[in-house]
Amino acid sequence: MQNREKLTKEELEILAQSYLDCTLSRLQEKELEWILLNTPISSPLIDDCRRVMGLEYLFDSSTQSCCNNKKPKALKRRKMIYRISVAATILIAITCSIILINHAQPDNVSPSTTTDVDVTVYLDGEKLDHEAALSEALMTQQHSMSMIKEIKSDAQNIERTTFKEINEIQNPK
Amino acid sequence: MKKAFLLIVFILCSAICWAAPPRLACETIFARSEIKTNGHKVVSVKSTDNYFRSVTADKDKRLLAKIKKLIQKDKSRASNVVEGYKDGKEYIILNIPNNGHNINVGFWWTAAGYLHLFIQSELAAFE
Repeated sequence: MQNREKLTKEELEILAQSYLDCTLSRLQEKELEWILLNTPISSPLIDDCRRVMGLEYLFDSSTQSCCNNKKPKALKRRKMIYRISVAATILIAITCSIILINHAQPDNVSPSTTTDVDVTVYLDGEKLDHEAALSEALMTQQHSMSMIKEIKSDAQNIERTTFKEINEIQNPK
Repeated sequence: MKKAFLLIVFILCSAICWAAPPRLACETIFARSEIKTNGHKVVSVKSTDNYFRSVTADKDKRLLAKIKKLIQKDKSRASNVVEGYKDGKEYIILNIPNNGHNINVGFWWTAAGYLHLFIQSELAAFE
């Protein structure tokens, strides 16, 4: 079914008969369905096949004559929805890829960019120059992190001691 | 078609949620102009493997009250909280997970109005 646009009435009738005899594969059936939805060719056998496929509501043969190429509204709407869905899916896939690529980028930066440090320090309302800011920032961060470490370690020690004492009270020698 | 569409929408939503910035309440402090005035020290360090911001004030009870409120908001998101009192200072340490990273928030203060707030993690945790 490569050149489905150029199928003649006779060829379509042969395919329709094959469909009705259930000798077509599933893929071929789908293709024939698509062709019958899009071709204005009509004959009793072809119309019968359309009816069996359940396309009679989508395809009004009376309005699909060779002289009148107007497609029914439902068919147009279905095609439109299909096109919009495909476009939306592609758009979402692209957006998704961009987000994920952007998110993954910080992990893939070259070693040279990791050494780029943006430091800003304001002391009593004055902005320090880069070198002074760097040393002040380093000191502040080291102090903050050592404080956090110390507090956490103290808390863990107290927790451990408390549990030990509880154990001793619960299990006296 | 519908299934594929729904799957892609789901993946997109997951990606957005996963990549969302933490929007910490206490981080809004760094947007205030009064922290760049006399009696305050503001530090900001940004590199790919380190993101550190801190504010220190000597006597600023208004700022102290504000930070206390904001820290309470962030506390509900923390996976680990350590609170206590040491060497005349009250403190609260929070570990907040975001984007697969752990954000450290430390805050200590005295009743007199001394305060030190800092946020630290890798830069990716804030993107």
